[in-house]
Amino acid sequence: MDARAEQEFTQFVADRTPALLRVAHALTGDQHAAEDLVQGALAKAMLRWPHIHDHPEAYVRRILYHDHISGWRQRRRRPETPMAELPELPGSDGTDEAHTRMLLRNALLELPPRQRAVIVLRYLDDHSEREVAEILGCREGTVASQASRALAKLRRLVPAQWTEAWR
Amino acid sequence: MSDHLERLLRTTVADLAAESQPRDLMPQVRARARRIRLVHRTGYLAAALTVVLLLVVPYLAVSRNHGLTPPITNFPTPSLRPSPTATPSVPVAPAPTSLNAPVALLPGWVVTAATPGRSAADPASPPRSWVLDRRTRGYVPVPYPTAVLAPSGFLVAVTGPDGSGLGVLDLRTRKVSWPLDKTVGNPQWSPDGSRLLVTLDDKATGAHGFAVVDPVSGAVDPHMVDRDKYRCNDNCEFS
Repeated sequence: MDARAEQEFTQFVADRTPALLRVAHALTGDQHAAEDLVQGALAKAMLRWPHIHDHPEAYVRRILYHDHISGWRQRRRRPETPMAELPELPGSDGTDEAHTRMLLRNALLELPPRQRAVIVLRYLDDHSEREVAEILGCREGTVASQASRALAKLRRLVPAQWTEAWR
Repeated sequence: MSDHLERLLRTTVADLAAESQPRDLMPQVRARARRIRLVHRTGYLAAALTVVLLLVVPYLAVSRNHGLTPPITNFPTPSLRPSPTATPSVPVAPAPTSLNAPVALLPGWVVTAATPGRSAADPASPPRSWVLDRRTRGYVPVPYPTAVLAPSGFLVAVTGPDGSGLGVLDLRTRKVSWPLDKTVGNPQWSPDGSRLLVTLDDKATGAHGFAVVDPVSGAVDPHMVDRDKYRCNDNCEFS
């Protein structure tokens, strides 16, 4: 990497790290895991910088999602603990919005990585199904089925009266 | 209801994203890139080593089992088959009239015949090939531009100058029979040495095909190919 490319890359990292960390945090729900994910994606981008410096952000985001899904690193550090039943949260009458969101947040982090990636791309980055398919490198049908499966699971995890109550 | 869930989901994902704390990751990114590069290089090196080992180990194993034939100093190949860059003006060294032992280029493989390259053929002198005689285990010269020794025994398929005619030479009697007097190319023996395949190419009529020849009886079984159906623009040979 020559001096100019190095400077370009450093500038890119400084500009885009906060946004990338936000995405990564939405994907992982954990600051350390998010930093790990972003570092990995940026390191790969650094090695390929001469080829990607025209469109680095798209490349880095794609790596970010792919690494999250292939996610062996993350799973090793943060083994998921599947819960058959939701933990009881006392002191709520079921109408508390913050409470519902907390429940949804936990439910979101219980989703398999690919479904979580689809949810984040759809609801955080506001990508269309076609764009999501392009980023994840799969077919649109897969995205649709992953999304509906994720929503079905969240709906199951978050009892109906709570989402209704927030109306 | 799904609408509400989606709206709630949007807020929740945004909340989750907002929990991240900005951090300068540049030093870690640099270290990580170095590590990836190192891993890649080690991988390439390991792959290269594996390839070298795969190439060398079988060769060593074979050469230990068979032992390489010591190089023969008076091997006639340079004079018989010069490289294509050689010009006719280069003096051609006289070939020895006989070699004492079969030449092994690779363990388990023996040179059965040598024919003069086209550019080496001195127009003034008649073409000459060398064939292995399995009785004497030496090479004998034969006055034909093509000579192909049968996989076993003492028969040699030969052609006349410029492929005119197919002959079968018996090394024991030194007699030649000519089952075919047409222009032939690329004589090949069946693995058991009982039949011969030659390509037929009639320049006058353009007929093209192949013939299966019985070297002992001299019977010829020609098969001509429909040129309109199976096109061949240049020098096709059957094998």
